[in-house]
Amino acid sequence: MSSDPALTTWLDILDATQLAVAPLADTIKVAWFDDTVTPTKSTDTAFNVAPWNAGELAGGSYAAGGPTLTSKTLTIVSNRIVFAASMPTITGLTDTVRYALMWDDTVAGDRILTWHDLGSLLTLTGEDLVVTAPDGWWRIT
Amino acid sequence: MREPLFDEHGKAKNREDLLSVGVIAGGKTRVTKLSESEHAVTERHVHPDGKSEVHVTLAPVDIKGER
Repeated sequence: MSSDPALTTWLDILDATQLAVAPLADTIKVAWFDDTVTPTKSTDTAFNVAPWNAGELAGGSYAAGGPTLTSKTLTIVSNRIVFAASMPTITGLTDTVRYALMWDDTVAGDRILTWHDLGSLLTLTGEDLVVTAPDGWWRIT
Repeated sequence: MREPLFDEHGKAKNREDLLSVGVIAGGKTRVTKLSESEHAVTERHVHPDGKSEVHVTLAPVDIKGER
């Protein structure tokens, strides 16, 4: 597996659908899932729609749907449009995770934007999950 | 009832107590790499007070056309 954009959402942003994703104004969340998910970048559409409807992280300070990103920016860096943001730390977790799914909780249909693959299943035991993306979460090149 | 951490002269009475409440650092944070993929590095940080955190550093996902 790999980290990918959700192509169906980006297509709907760009084509006649004109899906009104506004990353700075909308509530953007990051939901966390284990390795029971099998993502497909050409067909996956939304949070809570298969395959992103099972295997979600639970416990500790995590609320279903994941934390809301803060301090969001869209800037041009080295000839790329970069979306950067901060994710609040999730505390007190005892669970497993592999995927971080970014989705828009403001547009209709809870459309997904991207997912990150940690590369393997990660086990937390009463631990905090501290996530940073110093060079941004996604970029248009 | 817990004993005071400092005596009347302000001197620490018990180093382990000070460590447990984070008043002093008992050494370096131990960092262990757990995994690395194209877009993520994960590490476990165990602090001197015993607190353990999993740190994930993400790289941006590229949204691009084929060239």
